[in-house]
Amino acid sequence: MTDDEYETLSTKKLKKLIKRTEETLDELKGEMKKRKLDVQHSEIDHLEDHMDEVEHRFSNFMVFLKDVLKEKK
Amino acid sequence: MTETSQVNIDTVSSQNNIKTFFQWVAIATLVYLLISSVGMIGAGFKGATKGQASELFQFATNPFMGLIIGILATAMIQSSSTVTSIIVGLVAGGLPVETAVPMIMGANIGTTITNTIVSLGHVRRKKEFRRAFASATVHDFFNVMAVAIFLPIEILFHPLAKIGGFFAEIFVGGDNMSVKGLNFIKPATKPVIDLFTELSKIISENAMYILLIVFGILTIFLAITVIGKLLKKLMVGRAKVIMHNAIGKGPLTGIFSGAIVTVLVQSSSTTTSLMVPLAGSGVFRLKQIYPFTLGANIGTTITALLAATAISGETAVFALQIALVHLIYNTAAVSFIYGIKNLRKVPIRGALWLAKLATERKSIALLYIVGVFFGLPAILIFITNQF
Repeated sequence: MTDDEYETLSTKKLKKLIKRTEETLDELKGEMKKRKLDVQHSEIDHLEDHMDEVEHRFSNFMVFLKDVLKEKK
Repeated sequence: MTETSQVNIDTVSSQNNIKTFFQWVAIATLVYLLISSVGMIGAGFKGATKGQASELFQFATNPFMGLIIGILATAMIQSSSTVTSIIVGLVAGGLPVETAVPMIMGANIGTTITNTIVSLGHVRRKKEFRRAFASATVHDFFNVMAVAIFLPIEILFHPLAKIGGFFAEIFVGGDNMSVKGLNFIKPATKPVIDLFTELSKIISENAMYILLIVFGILTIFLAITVIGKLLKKLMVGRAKVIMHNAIGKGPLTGIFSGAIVTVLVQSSSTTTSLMVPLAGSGVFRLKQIYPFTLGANIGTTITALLAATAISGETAVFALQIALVHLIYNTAAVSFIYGIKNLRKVPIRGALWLAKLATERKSIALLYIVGVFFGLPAILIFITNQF
């Protein structure tokens, strides 16, 4: 819709459109939040894998040291 | 489902139940050993110093030296629970509480090295590393800030030692509740302490108390390490439930959940390290990880409290006092720093700034770890010795 088209709308219609848009925006925000939370829940489901990562911290540290040395060269 | 497959499922399930049962028995035995080893350190330290513990630790009466000892010891063995339990044992053996308080604060800083090392595993993926490193170092910044605020106040007015002492008196001191009369830990741990005392005597009669301390430290380290490993397996399901419930809720729930998960796995570094990959993947924001990390600071104090139950007699009140100082200090630090909006943001800003630098030059991350956890304490020791 262009600015000219908005001007032709009655105030009542404009209010109705605003209300509908706000509702849609809320729904979209809600969906977005739900998706984010779903991803977070699924990440928590892999907690065992993250615990393994903690166990391998020294081998990871060695990898890091190699990278630092490479960076220095 | 066929009858055979049902039988197989039942067999696997009962085997798992038996395995779980034995794992819990092992944990109970290890907790018993942990408590006994704190008693061993107390007895060994008392015997070795012949009541002159405060003179032996004269060099640590400088609070900065105590702080450095706490940082270095914890960074080296990567377990604040082990260090705080040893400190409880030393206090039971005569180490003054005032000397031990900075050590406890130092242990808080030293323990943050573990999750920082974990974050280095993300080094090959730039954005991921930046997020992971920030999520790890936010804990460092918070703990350093807590020491910067609370240590000078403690040196001047001793509020932590006083409050800890007040509650310790209520719990184990006073006329109404005689430690000797009610304590069942002493007779329970006596066989283990006697066994190790005898063993130390056989090895060397002259150095028996020193050996008893060494055995105590080794047993604490072993017990806490194995308990941590077993609890990780047994409690991962519970931890998941707690974390699932915390998602989408406020920071207070995050702090509470972090504390509970840490109590369950008996290790703050496990809890804070778990946060690193969650933040690294970008699924959780630093702001969400931060309260959970702070909860770990509170949850970890349970080990020192458990260790304090090992001590009976006249020093029991001091052992409990230092364990309570650990709890009060961490709770006060979280309430104060996180409670004030402007202060709350400082560790986040510091961590983001450092992570940006470390992502640009990886050697800065290495310099930071070596510098903060080992270099700076070494320099401080040098300066302290000069003046």
